[in-house]
Amino acid sequence: MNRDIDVAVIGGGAAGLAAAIKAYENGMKVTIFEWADELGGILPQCVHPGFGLEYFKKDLTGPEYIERFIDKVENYGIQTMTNSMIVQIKENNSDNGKKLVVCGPDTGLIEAKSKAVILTTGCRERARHNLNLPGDRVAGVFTAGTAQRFMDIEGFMPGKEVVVLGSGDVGMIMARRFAQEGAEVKGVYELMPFPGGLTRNVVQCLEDYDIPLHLSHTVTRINGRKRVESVTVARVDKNFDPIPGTKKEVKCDTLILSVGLIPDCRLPKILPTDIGIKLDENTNGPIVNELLETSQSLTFAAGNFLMVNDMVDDVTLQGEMAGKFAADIIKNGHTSVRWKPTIPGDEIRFVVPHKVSGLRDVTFYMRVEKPMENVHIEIPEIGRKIFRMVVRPPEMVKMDLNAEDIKKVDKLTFKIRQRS
Amino acid sequence: MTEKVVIIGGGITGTAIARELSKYDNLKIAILEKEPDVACGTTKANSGIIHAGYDDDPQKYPVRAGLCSKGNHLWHDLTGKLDIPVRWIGSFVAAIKDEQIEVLEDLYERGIKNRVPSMKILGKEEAGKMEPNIPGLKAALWAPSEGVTSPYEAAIALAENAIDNGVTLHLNTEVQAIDLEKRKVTTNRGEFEADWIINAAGLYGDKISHMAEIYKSNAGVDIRIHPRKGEYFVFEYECGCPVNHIIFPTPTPASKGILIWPDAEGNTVIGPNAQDLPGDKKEDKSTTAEGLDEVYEKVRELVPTLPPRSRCIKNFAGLRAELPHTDFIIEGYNAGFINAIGIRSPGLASAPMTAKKVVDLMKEQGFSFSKKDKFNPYRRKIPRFNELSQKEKERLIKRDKRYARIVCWCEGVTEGEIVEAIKRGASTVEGVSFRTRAGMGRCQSGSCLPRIISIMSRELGIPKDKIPLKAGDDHLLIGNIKALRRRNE
Repeated sequence: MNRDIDVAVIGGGAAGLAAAIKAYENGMKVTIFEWADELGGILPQCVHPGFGLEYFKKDLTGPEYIERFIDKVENYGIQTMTNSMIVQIKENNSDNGKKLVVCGPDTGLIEAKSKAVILTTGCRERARHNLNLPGDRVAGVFTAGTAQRFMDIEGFMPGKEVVVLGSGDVGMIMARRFAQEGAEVKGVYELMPFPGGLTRNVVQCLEDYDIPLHLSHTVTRINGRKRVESVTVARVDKNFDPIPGTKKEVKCDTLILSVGLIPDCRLPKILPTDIGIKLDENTNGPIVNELLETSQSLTFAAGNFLMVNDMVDDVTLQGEMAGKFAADIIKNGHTSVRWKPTIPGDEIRFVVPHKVSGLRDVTFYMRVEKPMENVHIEIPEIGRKIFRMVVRPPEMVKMDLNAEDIKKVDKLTFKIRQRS
Repeated sequence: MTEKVVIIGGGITGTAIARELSKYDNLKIAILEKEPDVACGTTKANSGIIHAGYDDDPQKYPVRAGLCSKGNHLWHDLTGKLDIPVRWIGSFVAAIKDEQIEVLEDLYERGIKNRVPSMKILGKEEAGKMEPNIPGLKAALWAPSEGVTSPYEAAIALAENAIDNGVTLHLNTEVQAIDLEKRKVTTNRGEFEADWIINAAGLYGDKISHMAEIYKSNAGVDIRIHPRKGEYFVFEYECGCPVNHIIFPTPTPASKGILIWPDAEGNTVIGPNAQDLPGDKKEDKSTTAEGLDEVYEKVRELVPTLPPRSRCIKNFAGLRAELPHTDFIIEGYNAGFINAIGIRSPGLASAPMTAKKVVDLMKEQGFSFSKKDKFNPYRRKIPRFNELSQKEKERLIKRDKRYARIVCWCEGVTEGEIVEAIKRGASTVEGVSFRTRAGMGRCQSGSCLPRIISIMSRELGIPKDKIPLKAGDDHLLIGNIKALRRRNE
């Protein structure tokens, strides 16, 4: 293994591979570090289509989508360390780079040096106890992603009568996946009064398979002795509290949880050294500027580590940006700029990036607080109003602004206004 | 002459007794455990606190009061010899009302009677310095000898050390009948001869005692056990802990109160509440919405800066074995039968002393013990990669490169540790977790579960769909991905 690296990419999923490819194409010596024994991240287990519609203008499955990037990494001969984890990142002030400690069975515990680090380790799933979901603690409760891995990587069936809690995209996709393999999917239960995932998944995963979607419902208890035997479900009121008298038992042997994803930014036990990046409590990911550089110089973030994205196409674009800008800064140094903050205003939960310069055009990613129809997205500082028929929390709002506009102001506030 | 001992139950009490008896030459000792692992009952689901011993009124609960503080003292030595994770952080009974200070004084007096060392009543200022996150603190009772451990790791360590000293452990072995005259214990796995039968069967202590036709204690207490349920929250390691010690509210006549403490790993834990269940609910380890609310809200009254409920990584419930008089029964009867039952709190703290009491009871019945020359008092835990220095890590990897493959991110557990846990007897996912902490972090095993199952399948030579989550559970997976399709054909 070459231990003198320009760009160290941590995490070999969609964001990491795109970052590595771009950095390499910009002349960098790149190494990808991947925990698993194969590249690809989550995509090899996403056997359904719907990937690449924007990026490749083609409808691909997860394995097909990621294969294109893995092939490129191999063709370029980019150094790839699988079964490897970075267990330490230290700022190496003497020569303005970073010292990494790599841990893996092939290398043992070794040190490497890199000029920049790109963090692309993705996100994790919220699980049963984050919800304080009471009842029996028995086999048969899985997060959607874990069930997906068991089915489409390991080749094992987790259960035959399934209830899904949460209508996020993964939850709906897994409802369909279970149905395809002959399981009886009793229903998808969603706490909110609206679905948690993309509309196309409501249609293609639930409606097309006659799987009922119960909005404003939740699971209040898990019941079973040796394995899940049933779950208790109930309708919820405006405060999301179960309404007395609406409880009923649904017989099942499996409960699949699709109740949210959280960027996996801190590994206090694995990576005990404070890697010094400031986090945004709304995204749970790092605070970044338009170069996707975190508060730590030459440490970049992209993909679901940066914020939970809806579409892999965006993850890829963010990875490419991080790879390109890492290479730019390594070659040309930092440009001194006065950063202008971006501020989430009314009905906006977050805006990424958090800081912009006015030196270049920027794509902004936003998530709204609640579904609204017939609205304007307003940026009062530059007097911009953009009409949208519908905005929904599960569907990221994307907006491009050009450098000229950004240059004129010293901050940007994004808000949603109902059109009168 | 060598005599045969059968210990029924592989919980903290049974394993402590086994280890104590394994110091002697003229005993052949077998532990019979109905589950596939030790520590599967009350031992695995409690606070893990090694109580100081001021809590038990020696008039009302003479057995508990007599064992706890001495047991605590023994643990200070034993945790070192057996390499059991422990933090002697001390306990702190918080008074936030003037009238509670009197209660602290009563507890102090009781502690003195029970020979609890180094206790102190702290005034407002000193108490507030030690625990700045308890608003309105007026005074506190401070007992530095109290500690927190991992109760299942303690039982595993005791069992491993006992086995090393010649004890045999029979898992999946459920006692069905006891014949005291013929000195015979019948199980689902055959018969065991027994000159001595020691009942350490936890919640089922009454059932075993009844098999030996012992229905009342020597003092006439009905041997009838009902479970008392307690529910808990464990929070993410990353949240840290708002308190530095084991914090009890001032007890009321009705309740010892719900506590908060940093566990042996530094995670915040709160619990338990107390709910008495009927005697036939000995398997009801479910949590309840009401119970969880009660635990969280009560602790938040005392410590408002508790981590939010969404940062909880484990809710669980445990069952304590309660006899009608709520004291332990540790006594011998005719024909070599000994009960060590009704072991509720402070059963963990008392365990090493309970074991010594069993030795005394055997002596009283005329057995003369002969010490072993070659008793090994030490046991090493599975190396924890994450806790080692750089040099130690390198050495470990050199020996076995699987120690360089991190399987569980949250807790930093390597494949080497998991393989070693399986070698030492883990046959369920929970058994692996208890020995290594794999899957016990904030992602609640979402990332590492498929990997743990793959490693278990490989090491144990059984298919992935035959791996159980924990004792008594069905398998996690129902078969090949096409299992349902093929069946439907």
